Amino acid sequence: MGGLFPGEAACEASGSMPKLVLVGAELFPHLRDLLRAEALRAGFRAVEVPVRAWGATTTPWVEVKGGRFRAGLLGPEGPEELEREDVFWCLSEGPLPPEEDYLRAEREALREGFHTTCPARTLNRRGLLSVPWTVPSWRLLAQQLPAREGACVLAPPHFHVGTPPEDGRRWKPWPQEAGGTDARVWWTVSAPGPLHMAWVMGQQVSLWSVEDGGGARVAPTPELAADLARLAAGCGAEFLEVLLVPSASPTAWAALQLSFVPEGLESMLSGEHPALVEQAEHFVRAQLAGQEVGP
Amino acid sequence: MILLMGPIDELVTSFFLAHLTDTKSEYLFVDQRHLGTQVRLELDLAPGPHASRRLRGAVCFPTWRVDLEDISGIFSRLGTGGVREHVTPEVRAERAHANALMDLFHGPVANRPTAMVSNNSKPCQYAAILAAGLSVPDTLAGGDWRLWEPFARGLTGDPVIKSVSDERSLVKQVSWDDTRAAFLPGRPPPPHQFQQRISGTNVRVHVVGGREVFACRAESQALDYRHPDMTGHPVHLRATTLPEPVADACRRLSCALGLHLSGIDLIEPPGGSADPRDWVCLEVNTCPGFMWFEQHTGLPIAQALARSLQAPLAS
Repeated sequence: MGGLFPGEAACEASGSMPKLVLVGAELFPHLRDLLRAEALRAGFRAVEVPVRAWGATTTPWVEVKGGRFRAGLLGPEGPEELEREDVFWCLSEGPLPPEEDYLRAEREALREGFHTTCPARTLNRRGLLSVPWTVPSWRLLAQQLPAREGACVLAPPHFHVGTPPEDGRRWKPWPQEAGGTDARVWWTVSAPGPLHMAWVMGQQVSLWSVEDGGGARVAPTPELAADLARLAAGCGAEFLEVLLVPSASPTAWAALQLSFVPEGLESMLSGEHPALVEQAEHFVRAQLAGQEVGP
Repeated sequence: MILLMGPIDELVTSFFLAHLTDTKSEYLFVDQRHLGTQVRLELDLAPGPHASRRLRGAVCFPTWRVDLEDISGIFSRLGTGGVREHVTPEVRAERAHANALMDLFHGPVANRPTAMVSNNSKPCQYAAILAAGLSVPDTLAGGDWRLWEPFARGLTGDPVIKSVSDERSLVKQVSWDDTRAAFLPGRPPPPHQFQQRISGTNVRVHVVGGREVFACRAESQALDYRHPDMTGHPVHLRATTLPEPVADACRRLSCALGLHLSGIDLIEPPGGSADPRDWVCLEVNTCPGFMWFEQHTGLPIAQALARSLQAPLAS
């Protein structure tokens, strides 16, 4: 199994097979193994572009003719078009190599344009029209939650921007996000309980207690599962990790952080968590088959 | 009242400020140079049922403050005008707070920072333009000769070359032979965007509040009428009325991009047409310098913008 681009072995499969194109998969070795195995099983050719090559030696291209988009990658071995039957997942994207500001802006614009217009089925589509990649996560939480009217059990923290209030509560600085803004953001949560992590993959939601570095599966209530699935849908994401705590009442939860990059999943896949492996396999299988992942 | 933020000596900022003063509109002005030095923003978002109603805060001056509840709409020209300033961490933080305010504010904002980024990549905008029912020029962004050759065969005449991003918005017509000769063999070509040159009349459309549409023709022999000085060709601007289906497509496009104020560059087909698919959209300016168009045509864009930002907020 391998790809066309530097850093990967040559692929033995034919060019007529649909492709699973991954950017930055080398940063998630356990997930990469899972994706490769599922691609092989589904008759997909895996094409991998390392983070360092993406936008530098492997560049995207976009064509629009008669109102129809075509898009692909141009690597050392030539152009590769991504079509509707292909699946694309940019798991991680690094900064472009340093060069003149104008050229950097142009390369960035090309990458963003590719993400937005690529006709392949795309997981967690990036681009300048995609909320997860243009809005800092604290603002996403503030704007997207509560995810529905009425019996919503998942809330954002209380946020404050500016100097921290001196109101007797414990305000913590919101962590600076990579490529994020310089805003001074503070947050607090009433009576926070133990840390949990939720993985939303399609409509499937799993919840895990991660206190003390462990990983014990917990059954989410239907209301919490529905709120998490709606949060992902509101962000336009097929895959979402949410760090959350029970807060204020036994049924209420506060979402503390969001991630559209599978860092937490990779960490869990390196341990013995067969239920999460099964959830990830089911998700990837459905994506390759072009199916919705049901709850 | 309207909150206006920008450099006081920037043309559109001072033009709009003069309009608000002349019409005795209620406004609060924050000079960009004071943000982070004399002016700071406080925002508070408590959890609650409606995100739009949970935002509280104030614009804080050294001796007084204005609550966000007293502000009906925001117009920002922050970051325009090429202002040179000493950017301290406090200035950077307050600029970020201003962006957060504009994204979270429940009333109208021209324009929210997250809505303005689409202009950083023209292919991103093409997706929205096509979805709104307008056309875009046949375009190839990126690639090398293996892609350029087949693309070139489908074009009429030599292509136009322009930036993929919003940097250096200059447009040139180039010959394929010259282009090929300009690239060094064995080295990957730098990013670029080739396009079919479109014949017709340039029309600039400003959409305010997703409803009001102001159009003007820009008649010029220049390839890019926005830079007439560079070509020596004069440009003549005059107000026009769009066919309603085309105006509707512009409204849809502006709304789809989340823009309260947009500057849409269209090319009207020779002979005209009421079908939006016959109109080609080159790009959507997300921070349009409407002053130039208003001064030359008399279109009341500032008045419409002020009116839309003054509208009372629903309780």
